[in-house]
This record gives sequence, C-alpha cells and structure tokens, in this order.
Amino acid sequence: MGYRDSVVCSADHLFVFAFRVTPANVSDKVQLIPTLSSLEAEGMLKYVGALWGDNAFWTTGNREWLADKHVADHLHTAEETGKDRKNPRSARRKSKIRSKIEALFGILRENYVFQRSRVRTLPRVTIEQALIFTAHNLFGLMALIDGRFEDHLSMRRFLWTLK
Amino acid sequence: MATAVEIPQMTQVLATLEKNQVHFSPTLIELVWEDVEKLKASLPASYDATARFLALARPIVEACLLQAGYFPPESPVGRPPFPAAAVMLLHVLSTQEACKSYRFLPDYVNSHPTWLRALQLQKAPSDSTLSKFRTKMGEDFFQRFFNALRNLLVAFGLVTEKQAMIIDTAPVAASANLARANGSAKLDEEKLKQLFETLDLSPADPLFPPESGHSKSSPYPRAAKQRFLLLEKLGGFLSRNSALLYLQRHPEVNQLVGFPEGQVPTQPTFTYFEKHNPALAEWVQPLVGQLVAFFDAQGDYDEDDPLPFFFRHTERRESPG
Repeated sequence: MGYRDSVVCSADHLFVFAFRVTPANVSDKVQLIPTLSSLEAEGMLKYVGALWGDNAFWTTGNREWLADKHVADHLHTAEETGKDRKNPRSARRKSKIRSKIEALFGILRENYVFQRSRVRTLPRVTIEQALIFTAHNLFGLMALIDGRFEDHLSMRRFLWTLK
Repeated sequence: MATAVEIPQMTQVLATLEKNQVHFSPTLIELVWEDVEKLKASLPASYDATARFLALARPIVEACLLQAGYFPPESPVGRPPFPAAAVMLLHVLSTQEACKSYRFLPDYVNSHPTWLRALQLQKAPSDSTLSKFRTKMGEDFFQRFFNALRNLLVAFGLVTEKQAMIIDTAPVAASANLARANGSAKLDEEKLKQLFETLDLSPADPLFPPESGHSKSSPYPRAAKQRFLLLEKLGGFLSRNSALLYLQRHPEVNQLVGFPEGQVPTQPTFTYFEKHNPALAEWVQPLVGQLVAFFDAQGDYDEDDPLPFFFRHTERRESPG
C-alpha cells in the first residue's frame, strides 16, 4: 500500500537527476521510459551516457528505447540475476556500479523522511518527494560552494558541524 | 565515490552553461555568485552550521525560484507574504529526519534564533501557511524547482555530459491510519431498539408532501428512510455508504430500521428522498423534544462524547506507524 519512487541518480556523486512518483502497483519495468522521457523533453538526456539498473528494467521495449536514444544499456539481464546466474562475472561488474543507488536510498532513508510519507494523495506525496530530492541536491551543491564537498552525502555532518 | 571536487571558477560555470546549453540564466548565476561571495565574507561568528547553510543557500534558492517561474506578487493584498525563498528553505529543513512533522517545523525553527536570522525572518510561518504554499504552488512548481536546481548542478560541473547513471525504484509507505481503516464498530442494538420504539415520527408527518398516486411508489416505507437518516447522523458513520454497508452486514439492524427483510436501499434512494422532501434539520424539529427526553433518561449518555452511546467499539489493530 502506498507509492513508488523511480529515481535516476548519477553514479559518481549520487545526485538525483530525475524522479517519478507513481502508485505502488505500477510495475518497475514501465517506469524507465516515462522517467527518462521527462529528461528528454528538457534536452537533458544527453547527460545520461550509460544506464545501470536491475533486471526489472530489462525488457525489450526499454532496451530498444535506450538504443534509439544512444544511451548505453548496462541493465542486468535475466541471466545475470538470481542464485544460479549464468554470467556471475558480468553480474558482479554491473552490480559494482548499480548497487551505489542502494547507498543513496540508505542515505536518504537515514537523513530524510524518505520511503514514508507524512501526507496523503499522490500530488502531495509527489511534492514531498520532490522536496526530499531537492534538499539532497541542494546540500550537495552547498557543500561544494562552502568548500566541504567531502561532507555532501553526510547531511548530519554538514548541518551540525562547522568546518 | 569521488570527493575531491574543487569549487569551479565563475568563468568555468558560465562556459559550461554556454557549452551544454543548460536552461539557466547566466545573469542569475552571476548575481547569485556575487551574493554568495558577499555573504561568505560577512557571516556572523554566532552562526552554527545550519544557519550558515540557510544564509548561503538563500540566494541560490531565490535564483531557482525565478528560474522555476516564481515571481513575488507586486502589490500583495493584506499582510506582506513570507519570502518564498525562506519558505522553500523551511521546506528543505522539514525533509530532515530530525524534523518530526510539518506541524513541528515552526517550533523547531523558532527555537533557533540564528536560523531565523539567516532566513531573515522574525518568526517562522505556521504549518498552515506552509501547507497553503504547497497547495497554491502545486506539484508542477516543485518539479520545476527541482529541475532548476538540477540544471545548476550541471552548470557547476557536478553532472557532466554522457555520465553513468543508475535507475532504481523505492517504495514509499502511505500515510494511512490503519487502525481507523481496519477498525470496525458494532452498534448497540438494544439501545437502538429502545430509541426507535420510543420515538414517534408522526409529529413530522405534516411536513412531508402527500404521496401521489401517479408515480410508482417506493418499496421502502418513509418512516424506515427517516429512521435510517437518523441512525446515520446519531451513529456517526463516516459516510452514507458505510451506514448502508453496515445494514447489509447486519440484517437485525436493517430490520430494526424497518426496511423489508433482506432489502437494503441504495444511495440514490436517499438522494431522491432528500431532493423531494424537506431537509433532515427541518423534519427533525418536531421530534427534538422526544429525542431530548430520551437521551436525558439515559444514565450513560455523555453529551461531550455522544458516539460511544450507540457504538460498542471493537478492538482496533495497532497502527504500524
């Protein structure tokens, strides 16, 4: 019961680049194109050179769309998933990058009211999620401007300790 | 994760903007940069890290607001509004884990005078003001604000062209009161029976139009419909539908109300009834004396908390939150 956030983040600094909030019953595999389409509409898809993601996104439609937009597809395949995966080495290689987003979710969950909502109805929850991602990016930018970029992921250190 | 990132020069930022064709006004960035540099040089020593963040972030938030299409009203009616940048920064603070709720936010901020000073506020706006701001601006505005800030990240070189990106989804638990949603109440049938036996509806009869012989008459007696409407109000049902559902699930109560056995009317029956007859407040008027006498005679009736009189609440499930 609830909602689902699909998030696109940068692999190096973990900034949230795009997001989309839907009801929880919307499948992961149909989230990729609408989330990236919003970037395309603003001419920001050129910043997405390659895309990593789990095998929920690995559908023919998604892969064709990515190929059409010249985005390198590094999504986990069905063969790279599960206990008896056929290609464990490539799975490990992809996981090394893909798993960084789990760290972002962990950081957001620890520092912000992420993965739970204090309001009701989809528009209000979308606003709340937009504020969370805005706050995360703003702290990152402010950390850079304040000359303490090493603290950009630790909001507690950034907000509660003076350099 | 790379952490050794230097602050770019303003010329670099402007060059990035030009090269990558990011939608952000270069003039705005130059103004922001000037403001930030001035502020950095003049921040009071008393500021803690949060106040410092709020003070330095204000020009950036102002620029993003302009970029997102927000312009302050030129001649606002009534009290001058709170600056939008301060309200946005308060919202940013509200997303912190330390801030328990939107209602808690004004107290949280008011207890830190340096934060108020950094936001250039005398007093934090109330939670209601913040809520109105969110409602007024709407979902699109917050999305545009997010996009404006993201473009600024690009301008500052924190996101570069053809970058590696990761996509994933995360569940967001709904703010639902499961205890209320799953709670069920059982009506005290004895008391209801007593009320309906005592209550004589005939004083209200003259208020109703005589039934015409032309149209097909309703299979439900008028008195039963009146009793149902009384039950709906006195029982404190959350909606008419929930009251009708209760009758469907409890045939004994349906019988007490006076509907034919096994038949429960639908909502349109009552919509039609209310449309063609006087309002409930009107036809209850002649019955007020009887109702007052009935409730006065009940020892366990509490005027301040009338609902438990008819309801025996069943145990509710604990809310997970």
